[in-house]
Amino acid sequence: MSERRGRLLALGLVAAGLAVAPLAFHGDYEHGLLVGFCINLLLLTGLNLITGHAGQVSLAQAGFWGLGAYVAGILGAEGIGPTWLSFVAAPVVVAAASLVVGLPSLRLRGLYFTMASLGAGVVLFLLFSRAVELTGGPNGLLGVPVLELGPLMLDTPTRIYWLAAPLALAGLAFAAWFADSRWGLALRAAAASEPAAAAAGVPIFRLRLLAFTLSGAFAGLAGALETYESGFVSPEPFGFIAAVTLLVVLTLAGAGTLLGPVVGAGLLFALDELLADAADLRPLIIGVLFLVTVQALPQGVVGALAARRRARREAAAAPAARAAAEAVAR
Amino acid sequence: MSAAALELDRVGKRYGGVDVLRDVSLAVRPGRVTALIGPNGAGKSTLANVASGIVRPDAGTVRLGGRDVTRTPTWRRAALGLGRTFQNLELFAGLTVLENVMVGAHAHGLSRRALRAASLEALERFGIGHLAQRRVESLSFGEAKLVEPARMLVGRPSVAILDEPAAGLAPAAADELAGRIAGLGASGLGVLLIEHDVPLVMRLADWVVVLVGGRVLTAGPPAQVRADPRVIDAYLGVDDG
Repeated sequence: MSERRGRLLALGLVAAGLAVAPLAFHGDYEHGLLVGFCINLLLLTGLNLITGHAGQVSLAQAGFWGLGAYVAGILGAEGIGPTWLSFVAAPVVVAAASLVVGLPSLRLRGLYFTMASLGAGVVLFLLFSRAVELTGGPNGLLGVPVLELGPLMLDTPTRIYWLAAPLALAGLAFAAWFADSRWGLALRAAAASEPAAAAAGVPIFRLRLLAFTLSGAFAGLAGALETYESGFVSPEPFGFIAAVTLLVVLTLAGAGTLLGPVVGAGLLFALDELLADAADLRPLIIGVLFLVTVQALPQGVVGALAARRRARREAAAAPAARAAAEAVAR
Repeated sequence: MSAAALELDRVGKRYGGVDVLRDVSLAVRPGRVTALIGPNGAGKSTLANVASGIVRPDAGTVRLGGRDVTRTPTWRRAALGLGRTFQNLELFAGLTVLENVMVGAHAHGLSRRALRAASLEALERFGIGHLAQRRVESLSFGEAKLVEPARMLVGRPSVAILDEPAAGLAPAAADELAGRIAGLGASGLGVLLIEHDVPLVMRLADWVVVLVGGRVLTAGPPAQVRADPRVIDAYLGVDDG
């Protein structure tokens, strides 16, 4: 099977999974968790663009997620435009913020970029907590209305899920297309060797800025969903722990792979489902899983499975390749 | 004589108070192979990096097709027709051989299908089409060494900087590579060949520049350079055999 066909099949399976999930998990609480799965899928898919494909480890994603949530919350609470407008405004505003953050910080590399992205996340978190007039501060932002899409009132987790699932799937499909495009290929090349990529004509900084901006747009969309799912916005979910959790989960699921974000979001869903009464254990369990994974599967779960499949395919193709090489030598 | 495809004019580069390059001038003409030789530490790779924009010179001018590109970033120089390979293999680990080569034509904005076709053609030209779907990290050194020039050529350069392309190759493979380099020159490409394999250089080059201690010691046709006592003394040595 060609890689492209494999990707289409994987997307089809994710679509089927999203379609049947509400039938397998019943009740508002479970459907709320499924919306959470879609939010995490959007966040991780976006993070995967800049960290997985472009190789620039970002700790800003949780802050951007929060920014999207506050943009949606403020627009909704202030009654500025129809509620669906948040799903346009939040990604656009957060993408613009990512662009502004990325312009200076992506001139840095490696750990320095990571630190700059962490700084951006911290500044945003402080803004959420301290700009009380705008955000409600630690008490949160109240008065978020019910999301309306034309005549539809998305007033239950189940109904919001039917918006969240197509958005998450569309985001994943877009990311798959982008990763497979010449830009995605060039980003992965630059992550492997900057001098060679530049010498091949790859405008590395511009492409990384594009990936970072897109990753911000994904976070903005996730933020708008978060706001309308919970009907309330407070700073707490968007802090340092969330930033690290997203990074760790993406790494252990498989950064730079199509299905890594799906497995990562699934892991967070499973933990939320299993630890409904002991949520405090979540960071601990994620930490232990991370330690085990980096030792046993440094490419992450999906990366390791893909490597195994590739090795099998290459072993099967080896005799033919040898024959071709010998023919060339003759 | 035709205008230089690539020209370095009185280029200088210092690292920590040491002149790695000083007043270096050379020209690479279309359809000609210009070789750059010299002992280790002479500044050859620094010169390749200055020419391709990876290192910015402290003095002097770099021109590509007559255009001043001294402050032009590397990726834009590639789009303007400068291709290069590296002394130490710089392949894109994690990507297949075909994908590595496809990146070489990034600047041309081809469709995915056209990019793929052009890249497969480049691989076939180097006799490694059968490796297209292999990850580069699984290749032997000799195989990997051919991916870089294929990647460079798919970018349709007008000037090619080849930094020790034959280093580490078996004699037969180096011989085959020499034929391909000669073919590049014959096709109208300006080639700057940086190489330690002196017999190969003397066979291929139309013009040889000798760099010693960051300065041009001499430059001229291969036979003249080979007979120059200063070159023998500083680099070639005396064949006692």
